[in-house]
Amino acid sequence: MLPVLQIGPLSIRTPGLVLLAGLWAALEMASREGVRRGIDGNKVYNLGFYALVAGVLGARMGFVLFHSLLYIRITPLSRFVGSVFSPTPGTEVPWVGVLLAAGVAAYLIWRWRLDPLALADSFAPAFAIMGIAIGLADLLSGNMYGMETRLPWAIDLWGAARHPTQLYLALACAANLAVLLRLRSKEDALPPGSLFQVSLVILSLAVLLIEPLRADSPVLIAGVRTWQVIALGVLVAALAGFAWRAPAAQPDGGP
Amino acid sequence: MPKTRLDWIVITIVALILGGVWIGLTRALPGQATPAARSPAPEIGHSAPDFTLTALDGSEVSLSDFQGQPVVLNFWATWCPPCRAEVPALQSVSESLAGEAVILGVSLQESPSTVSQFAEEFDITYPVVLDQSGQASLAYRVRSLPTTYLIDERGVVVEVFSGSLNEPLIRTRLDQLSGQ
Repeated sequence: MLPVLQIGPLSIRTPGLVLLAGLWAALEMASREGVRRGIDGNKVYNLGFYALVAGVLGARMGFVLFHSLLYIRITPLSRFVGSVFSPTPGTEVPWVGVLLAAGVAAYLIWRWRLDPLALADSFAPAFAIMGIAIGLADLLSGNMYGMETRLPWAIDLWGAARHPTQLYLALACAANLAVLLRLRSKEDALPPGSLFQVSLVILSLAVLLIEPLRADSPVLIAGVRTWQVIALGVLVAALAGFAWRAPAAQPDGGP
Repeated sequence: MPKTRLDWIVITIVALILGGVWIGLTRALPGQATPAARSPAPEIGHSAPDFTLTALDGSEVSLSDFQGQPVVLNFWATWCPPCRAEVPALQSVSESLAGEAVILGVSLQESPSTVSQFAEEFDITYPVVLDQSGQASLAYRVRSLPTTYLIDERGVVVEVFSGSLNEPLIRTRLDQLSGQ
């Protein structure tokens, strides 16, 4: 864990740095993958960037709206504005950000007449890269920490030897990226959108397996872990997507 | 590789059933989701290390004096701009939650006169203690300013913030604590 890197008078927040690097790499990758599929790379890059900005702003505005009674009490105006727009971690409502980012992405896909399935395939490796960055950033900040264990690869965190759940996530995303890059060579034989669906299957399986090893896992009800429920929903949706697009019967002459 | 729709439907249903069973089997056990108090350490899930320091009025103040109510333990210095920026928010929360939660400011290695002057300038009424030797900041491994520890009514560290806080953030976290 190394949340702050002190270089002389300069305090660098390492998780933010890793996330920024991951974001840059992810957008670059998506852009190149878009070009491979005949989509304008700049449009892919910009779509990712605008969706991200919308997501960040939406998450913050969601927090401000849901806690508006707290915000309107802040005086004077300069303090109110500072509170609304200051980059204070922990003042976000993520699902509002996700909804707004999805809305902006959908609008740009329609406006720029992009093929959504080819675009999804282009973004699949980018999501894997962001997953790696999120895992490493959480490792540096000490978030998403694991349960105590005596396994030889345990890491010392928050005063105990723990499962490196952040590294498990990063490794699962790296494996996901490797699978996607390998499948890419066979992409012509697969229907558009398949890489994205495969990516969703791998990631949701990883979350289903890793989440029980987390010590700070959010719980929905009766001990059921929130992220496992979301992951199962995504897994079923991705598999149902395969079912929906598969032929009703095997073509004649097939084995 | 499954080829027909029926193959995929079967796989989807099997995945749903197995996933549901797995989620049920790996549910968080009672007490597992919330960290129990452990040995004192400035880390989430551990008892907050106690300290006794001198307040601006000359009295001795210990962190353990506030056990039984949530504490926002704020390490700061007068020369630190983000610390100065968050003082109005801390003061406002302190006024609105008097008796329900405590804001405790720990001034890092500054003279009493400098801190007193600052407290007067910013109308600070919440308790401020002077860590002149740096013993508390050392015990809490403070690496950057401001650093704030949210401590629950049992004296357990529940969240650590690096950087400036604002009023809604402090209020929502304290509301969450009181709702537990």
